Amino acid sequence: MAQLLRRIKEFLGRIPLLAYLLGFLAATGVEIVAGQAFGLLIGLGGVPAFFGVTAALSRLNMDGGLGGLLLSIPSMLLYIVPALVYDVVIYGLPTLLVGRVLAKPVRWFTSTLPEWLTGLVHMVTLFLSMWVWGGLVGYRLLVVMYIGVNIIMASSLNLINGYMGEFSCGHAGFMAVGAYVSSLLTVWLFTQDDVFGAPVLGAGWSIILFPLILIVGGIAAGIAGLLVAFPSFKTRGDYLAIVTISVNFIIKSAIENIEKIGGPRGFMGMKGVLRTMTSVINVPWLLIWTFIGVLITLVVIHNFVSSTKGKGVVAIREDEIAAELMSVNTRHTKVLAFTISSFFAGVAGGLFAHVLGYINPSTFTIFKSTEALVMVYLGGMGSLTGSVLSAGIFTVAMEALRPLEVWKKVLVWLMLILLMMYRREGIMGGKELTDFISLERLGLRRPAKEVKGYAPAAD
Amino acid sequence: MSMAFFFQQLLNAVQLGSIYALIALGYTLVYGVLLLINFAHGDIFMAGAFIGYFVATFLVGHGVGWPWGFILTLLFSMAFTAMLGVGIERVAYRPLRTAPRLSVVVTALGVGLLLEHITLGALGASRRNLPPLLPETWKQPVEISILGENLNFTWLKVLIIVISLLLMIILQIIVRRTKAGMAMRAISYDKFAVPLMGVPVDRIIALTFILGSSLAAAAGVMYAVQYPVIEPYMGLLVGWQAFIAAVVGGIGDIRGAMVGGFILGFVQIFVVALGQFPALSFLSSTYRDLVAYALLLIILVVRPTGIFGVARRQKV
Repeated sequence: MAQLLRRIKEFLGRIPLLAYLLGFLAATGVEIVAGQAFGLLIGLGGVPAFFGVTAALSRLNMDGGLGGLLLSIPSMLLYIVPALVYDVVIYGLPTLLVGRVLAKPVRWFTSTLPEWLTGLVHMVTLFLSMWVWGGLVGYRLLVVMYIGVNIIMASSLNLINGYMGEFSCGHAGFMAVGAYVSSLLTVWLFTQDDVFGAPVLGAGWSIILFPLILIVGGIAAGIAGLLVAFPSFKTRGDYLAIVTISVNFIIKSAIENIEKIGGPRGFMGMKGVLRTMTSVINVPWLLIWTFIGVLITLVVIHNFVSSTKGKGVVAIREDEIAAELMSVNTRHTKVLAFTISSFFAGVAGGLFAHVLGYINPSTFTIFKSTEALVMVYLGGMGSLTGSVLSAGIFTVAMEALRPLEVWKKVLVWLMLILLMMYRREGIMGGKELTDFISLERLGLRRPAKEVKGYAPAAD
Repeated sequence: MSMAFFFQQLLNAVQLGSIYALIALGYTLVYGVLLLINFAHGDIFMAGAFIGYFVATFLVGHGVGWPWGFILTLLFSMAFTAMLGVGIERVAYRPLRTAPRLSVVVTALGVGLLLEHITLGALGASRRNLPPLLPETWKQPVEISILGENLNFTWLKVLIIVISLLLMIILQIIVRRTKAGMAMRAISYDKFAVPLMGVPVDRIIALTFILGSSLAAAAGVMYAVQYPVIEPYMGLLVGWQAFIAAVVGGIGDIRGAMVGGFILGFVQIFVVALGQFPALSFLSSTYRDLVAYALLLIILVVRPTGIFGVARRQKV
């Protein structure tokens, strides 16, 4: 048994990342050609949106009390079996097959190209597979974009909660600032709206200005982040947690009190902005910007944390007073960290608002902040790849568990508590994915050339 | 502002403040002993109100009327909620006693949200009303004349204030005059030496949760009688306000929680009341929470330890 597992591991390990991505793309191709027919054949009634998980869970009868729930379990099991067959046949086999076949050519390809080009090829392939896979069922595309938004949220919160070791629980507040500022701007500039009237600028501008407006939303959120940064000079730990929570409440309450932008009723019209953008050039703009936003966030936070200033952030986590003695300017570092973190939360908010097409102050409550917390702790504090992974898992799980209604939330908080009790370090345990699988193995970096003529130094 | 109007609002403020103070005491007691902000406490208040609702429905259904219906509801709700509080401590907080403090805070936050959503899932989001425990006349406004001015009040408000004060006095006696109370104060003074003196720490911590949770339950029942709305999110709305009260007074200090509760009640009532004047009409009732949280933020920046709190020195 152990040997079988080892052989499976070896087999999977031999395939580089790009080959997996291409394999998944091929699997999506198989689904486009044969998914519908195969789904009907094995009794799923078409292409399942989420590997069949959502559809399986929606067979559960949540209204009939415990008896009804138990009675509905067989019908769920009856659905799971064909769904598993579907997943293996449509996704599993093609991905592995194509991955195995392409493993050698891909290795050769990645070892000849310069590294930045390899990275670009990976990104384009990833984007294509997301686009094609998501495009098949419209709902999937939405979830893919939610994952992107959540990755930005989780990794920017990780900067504070993971790397700096402070406890921020008001991330949704900054998200709200970014969401409102950017959607007010786009709706004002590009659409016919009841509040703002005719569009100010031509439709062509919308394509150029959209990313800039996201940045403006981020800057506004960054300024709001100062509300937390300044109190953080004097307070730490649970008191700072209270500050962040109250900032979250204040922002939400302030938005509710501005009648002009809808107050508690919320604000909409962002779908119109998207229509304006696609009327100029018809590509999935939001997916593109979410994708680029995620990339930029990860690169910036990764580089920040590995820079000298960023090392100061980690030093504050380990011991603030010692860090100060070692000439870390703690105030400056804290302001920087909080501003960067809330900037990206604002960008995430702007993207979120345009993905959803409608925002409402009660979307950005402490519940949303705690969801971001769950993602950070699930992935592991101080691990960016952990945040990416957990944002993906969390978002997909939340969508897949939608049929469970309120109990879905119960599961989330239960998971948070159990995590704190049994695995405080999260999935990745403070390590990055690249600590387990090297970049060379993944095919993202060229293997180091062996230098001939030198014997390894004897110990 | 006329005198009558002022007194009227003052009465409202004291009544709201006494409910806040009762909940704030729970936050402060637990913080004093465990140095843990028990974020789940607001939801324990909610649970208290719900337990009170079920007990009251049972009692009224069996023909128990005023005054025993009210008294028994209060007592049973306090007892059951105390069990809930101790249970939470036993299951969720005790295993984490040696863990880093932030993981305990996260757990507390999680426990609160868990309670909220379990209630939501099991009982639904519909608002419930407490069955009539008090004679209707208690809720009718009574007019008395003080210094030539007419003043409206209800006996219910007076009852709430009296019960709250009574409970606070009982708490003070327990904390100041009994051996267990002395142990409680000792633990909050020195966590490491006191267990060596033979003080049963686990039992004292359980007692702390019993006291805090039963006060929250009493507040829950009285809140449900005064504002006849019980819903799963009431812990979030009222509990957080009480938490602000605890911080304003200086969390960890019992007098602080009481004073903080009354200050917050006063501020909130008068924000709304002042909005009735034409010059200040921008102050609508929706500003209540905004003002409360802004107050919290200012206190935390200017004097993080609150009014009565003493700064704990961080050892290097």
